[in-house]
Amino acid sequence: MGSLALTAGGLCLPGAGAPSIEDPWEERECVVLDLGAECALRESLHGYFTVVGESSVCSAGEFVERRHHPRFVIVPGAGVMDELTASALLECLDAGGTVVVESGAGFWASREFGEHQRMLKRFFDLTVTAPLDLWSENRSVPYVEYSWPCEVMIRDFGRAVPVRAKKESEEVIGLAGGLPVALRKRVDNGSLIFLGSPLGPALRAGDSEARAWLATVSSVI
Amino acid sequence: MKKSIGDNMIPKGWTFEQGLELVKKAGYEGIELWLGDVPWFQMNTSDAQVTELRRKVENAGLLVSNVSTGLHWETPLSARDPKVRAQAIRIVEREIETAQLLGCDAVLVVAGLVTEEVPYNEVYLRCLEAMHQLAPAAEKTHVKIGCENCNSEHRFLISPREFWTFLNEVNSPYVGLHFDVGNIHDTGFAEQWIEIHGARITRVHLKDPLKKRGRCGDQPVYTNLFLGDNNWPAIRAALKKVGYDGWLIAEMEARYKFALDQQFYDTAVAMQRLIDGKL
Repeated sequence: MGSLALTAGGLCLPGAGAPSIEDPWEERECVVLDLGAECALRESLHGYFTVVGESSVCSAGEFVERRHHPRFVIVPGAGVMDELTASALLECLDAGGTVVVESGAGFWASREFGEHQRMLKRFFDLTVTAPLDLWSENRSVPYVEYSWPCEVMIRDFGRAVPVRAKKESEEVIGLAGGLPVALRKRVDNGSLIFLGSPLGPALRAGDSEARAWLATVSSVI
Repeated sequence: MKKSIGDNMIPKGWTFEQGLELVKKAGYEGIELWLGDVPWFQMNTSDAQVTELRRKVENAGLLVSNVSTGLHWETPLSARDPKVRAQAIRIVEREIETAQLLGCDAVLVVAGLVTEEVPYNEVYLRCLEAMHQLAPAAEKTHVKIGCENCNSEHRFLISPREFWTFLNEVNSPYVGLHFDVGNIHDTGFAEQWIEIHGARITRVHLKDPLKKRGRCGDQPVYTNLFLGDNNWPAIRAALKKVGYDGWLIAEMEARYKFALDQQFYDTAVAMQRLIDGKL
């Protein structure tokens, strides 16, 4: 699969530099998907920019149209998603890629959150429950503890979307105060990672463990 | 330099007009209006009502020195929730709008609130973004945004150099420092802040800290002017050194328990002694 290099001060992924003139997509192994109005946490999107590079960002429309299957797709701050976009992501998974879906709906009211919940269930068979305010009761340790692909602690984002691992093929990879907030599972030939506590703001704020985690994920795919 | 005092010091139960009469009699030239803190000036106060406030102020022989607000303590510009941040931006926009109606050219903003939950780096970036978003409106209306140094109260931009760096990154002549000489407590010296920030100071809040006390339950850490630990001759000299000739506004956290109106008189006299250099 090839290894992805971590450069000093940032994350270097194949194709994260300037695209070639002929066909920018052919070189792109990593894509950060901008859901536009359906991105519920644009700050998180900007966090991924700072690490992966703006040239890796593409709109949902362009992503659907080109039907390229990059090896690594990140969907920051997801709110809701249309069927075409979801299908394109599922195609990436079928082609053996890794897709990271990060929930951005932690601050949403219950009616809006219901749409987010249904979207995740319908397209990715992910079961999430209502967002929790991690700080509502005497929280003292402000970190999500990740166990895969490396053990790191990354600052939580206050509101987290808990996720349930229902099958043996689903592995909880992140806990906030004992609550599962990150999971990975096989989908067809690929790997789906769900993040219920947004990583993007930590990337933007310079959390070095957040950067290390993302770099390690990209190196094991 | 001219003397002003906050309308949030007007004793509870008094009308705005009674408060204005006291402010004028006590010897102030202006009054600071606190958006969201007083019954006559709220987010839903209409433009016509705000214009009426100005008329009352001017009829009393006073001017509005600036618009301030404490609403950002509950609705911070640095909140993680995008909807809360949008509300916070709207508050500043309303401050700017009402400042124009009131005939003044400065507003106070508490930029950012660091908590155990919301860390410094996130707060810094969001405040920078907020100021970049608001600066054009400030420039267009010629109303300056003064970010107040709340120091250990909001645990953000605690040192003068951090604040300097922040304002450099905002990079707008219409975003500066609303300097509070008392909020520094024992983390530094007011006169040094003045030397560093100079022309970026939009307004000056006055209070006197008890530097050795620190926050202790409900005990105030501030006291009346000249009773605390500020070096007032040095502060006056620093203001003169940098050429500050604007409004000095009394923000007295420690309030008289009795004869509430007397504090207005006493504070005005102290401020005039400071202005005249009779220390």
